[in-house]
Amino acid sequence: MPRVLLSPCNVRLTMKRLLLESKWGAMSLVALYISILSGVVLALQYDEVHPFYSAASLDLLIPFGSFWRSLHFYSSQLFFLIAVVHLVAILYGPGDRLALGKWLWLIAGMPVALLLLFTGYVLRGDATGESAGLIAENICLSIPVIGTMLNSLLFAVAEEGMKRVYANHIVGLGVLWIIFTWDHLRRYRVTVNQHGWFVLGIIAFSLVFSAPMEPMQMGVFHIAGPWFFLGLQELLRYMQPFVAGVLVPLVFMVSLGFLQTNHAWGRSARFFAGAWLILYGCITLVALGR
Amino acid sequence: MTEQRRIFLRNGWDWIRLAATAALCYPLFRFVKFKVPKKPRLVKVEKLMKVGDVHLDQEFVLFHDKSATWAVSRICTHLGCRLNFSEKEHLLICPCHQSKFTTRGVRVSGPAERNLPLFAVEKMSGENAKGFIVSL
Repeated sequence: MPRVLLSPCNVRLTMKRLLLESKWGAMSLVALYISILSGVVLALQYDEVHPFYSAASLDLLIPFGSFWRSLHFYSSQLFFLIAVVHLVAILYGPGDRLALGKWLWLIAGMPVALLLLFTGYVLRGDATGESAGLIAENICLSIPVIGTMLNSLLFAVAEEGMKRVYANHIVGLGVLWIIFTWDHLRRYRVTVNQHGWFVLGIIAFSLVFSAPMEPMQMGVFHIAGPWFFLGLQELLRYMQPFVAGVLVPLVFMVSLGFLQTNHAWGRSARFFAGAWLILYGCITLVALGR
Repeated sequence: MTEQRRIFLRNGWDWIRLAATAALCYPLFRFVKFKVPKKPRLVKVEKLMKVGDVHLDQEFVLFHDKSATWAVSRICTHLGCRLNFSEKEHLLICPCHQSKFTTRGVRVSGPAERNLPLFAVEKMSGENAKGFIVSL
């Protein structure tokens, strides 16, 4: 009997059922609720003028600071990762397709969510955060014509420190994400009570595992960026910042816009996005091996 | 004929207004685009440095040898990461993409294409003064 249960066909069916029948969207939203709540708590102590000192104080001095930081970090990661699984499940499943305009509007929330995650890393102000912020700033500046304006809007780390990154993290990007996703979210009512075990799981995990922090050290000659930034960091070794940091992610984002269409180019877009992700994963592995 | 002349004059007037607006945009763009050079900032390094000593500040690295004292930027010319000094290799190394520079700021290897800028250094004067002033 166990042999039957573990047959490849059964495993595939179970995986498919798990993918299609789990409430990924709701779980992602619950993780977002926890992320927002813990973010509000952190903001009461965080000081963007001294980002690293402030983040380190949370870990070392402030009672339960480490817990709230971990809770914010892991719930935010989960929010994004589960949202990606939700997206895959929707594309894989038999559900209705949105009109192209509505889909483009909704999918624009994905890069905004990634930017929210990214600015969170930058705000730590540690070796990873500061370097990631400076790299993002220089990538922005490499964009012709609008680069300077875009950088002033999003980062400006060298001139302004964390001021604008913080403003974007706690207000600007959040509002933008809601604008893009509101039409989608307002149809579903998700309460935390329905996902008690999931919430407890995140809280327990955050109590045990601290969020990462890498202080600046004199003898450090290799810094790895956030996990989703590693492939890009590796590409920046070989390509011009504008190509690696703007064009390469841009073609992926354009392909995301056409994932849902039933035309022939919809299939091409799905193939392209899949191939892009596999290649990006391989480059990330190269970066991890350094 | 009179009608045609009127149309020609009206069109001409429109073109002149457009050209005037465009001409006004030029000083506006020049004005907005201009970046006021930063006021030089003086950073004091108040410590006695022995020959061969290296001082790492947030924005520069100060070197001191028998013949001279000089400061070189700590910001990588590739993507702005903060460089660290490797005593073993006697080079400045970027932790993000491993660009390498000599202690004089000359690029050795890596994706960075430009050398590091050097900053002026002055020895502090006065009876009790010790250390250096770096102009950024």
